[in-house]
Amino acid sequence: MKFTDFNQSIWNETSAYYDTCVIPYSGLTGNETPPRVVQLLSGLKERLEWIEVPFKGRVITYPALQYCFEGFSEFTNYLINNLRSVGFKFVILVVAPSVIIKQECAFDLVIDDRNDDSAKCKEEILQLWRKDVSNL
Amino acid sequence: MSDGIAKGHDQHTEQSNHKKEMSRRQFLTYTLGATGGFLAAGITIPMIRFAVDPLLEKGEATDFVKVTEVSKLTTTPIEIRFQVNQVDGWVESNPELIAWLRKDEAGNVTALSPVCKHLGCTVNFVSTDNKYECPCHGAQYTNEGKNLKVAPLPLDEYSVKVDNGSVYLGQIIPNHLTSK
Ligand code: FES
Repeated sequence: MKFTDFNQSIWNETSAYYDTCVIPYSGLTGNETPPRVVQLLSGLKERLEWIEVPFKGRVITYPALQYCFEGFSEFTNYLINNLRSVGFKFVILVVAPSVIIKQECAFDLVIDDRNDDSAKCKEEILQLWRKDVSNL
Repeated sequence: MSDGIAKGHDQHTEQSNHKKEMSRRQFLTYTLGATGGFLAAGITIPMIRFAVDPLLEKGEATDFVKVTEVSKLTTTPIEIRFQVNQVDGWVESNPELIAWLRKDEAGNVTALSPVCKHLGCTVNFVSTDNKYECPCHGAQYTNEGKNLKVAPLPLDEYSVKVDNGSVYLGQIIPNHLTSK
């Protein structure tokens, strides 16, 4: 589901089931032409659908981080901590095609060019959830 | 006192003039306004209709789509992916859908939608358990889609047509297999 699908009463009723948060990251630098932006964002949208459709009842997509910036690690660590404090157990970063994350970051999973295939991406998420069950 | 009366009279005269003035204005407003409104409506109603009509139409998949041959089906469900043409407002798309198809013991073809009736994740058929399982919160269903745990309802079905050995799928309908 997307964050826009929730109002307070839906959230009160179902929040226990949504333990995974997805942050989309476009990684724009400002050097992109409009058609390149379209290309990057449609690639990102496709990757998000690999997750949003099969895991609709457990994953919530939050608003995207659009531009790359200094202090990415610090900011995302802060973001992840806050998201955990509202109840998300897993935080996943989904990156637009060809955008490379060089900084260390504390996401539970990063979906980027290395897992650029819907089956692979699904399997990585299932593994993340399974690992958590086996750690209980 | 007299001042007061005179004032009162003047006020009355002013008021009646004002009333007359207002009614003349109102007359013009109503007549011109109505004509203008009528003309505007003549232009805008078709525009609004044009603008809103497609939005009011619910996006629907078109008719039946051929997905496989009956000869390829057994009593164990198999996953079939197929595309439908969908028009939603002005947006035409070809979303990919998934169905789990099998032939029951009597040879009837059935097709289940994999959308979990708990919160909408996609279920998979686990052949070793002969059950559908949801990866999200563990809902389980029989191979006919009957809900065993977590989900409140059975899996939906696709309407199925068999013609000349080919299987066609149509709209998603509530499960009728589990109530037999
Ligand atoms: S969405 Fe399937 S069990 Fe919750």
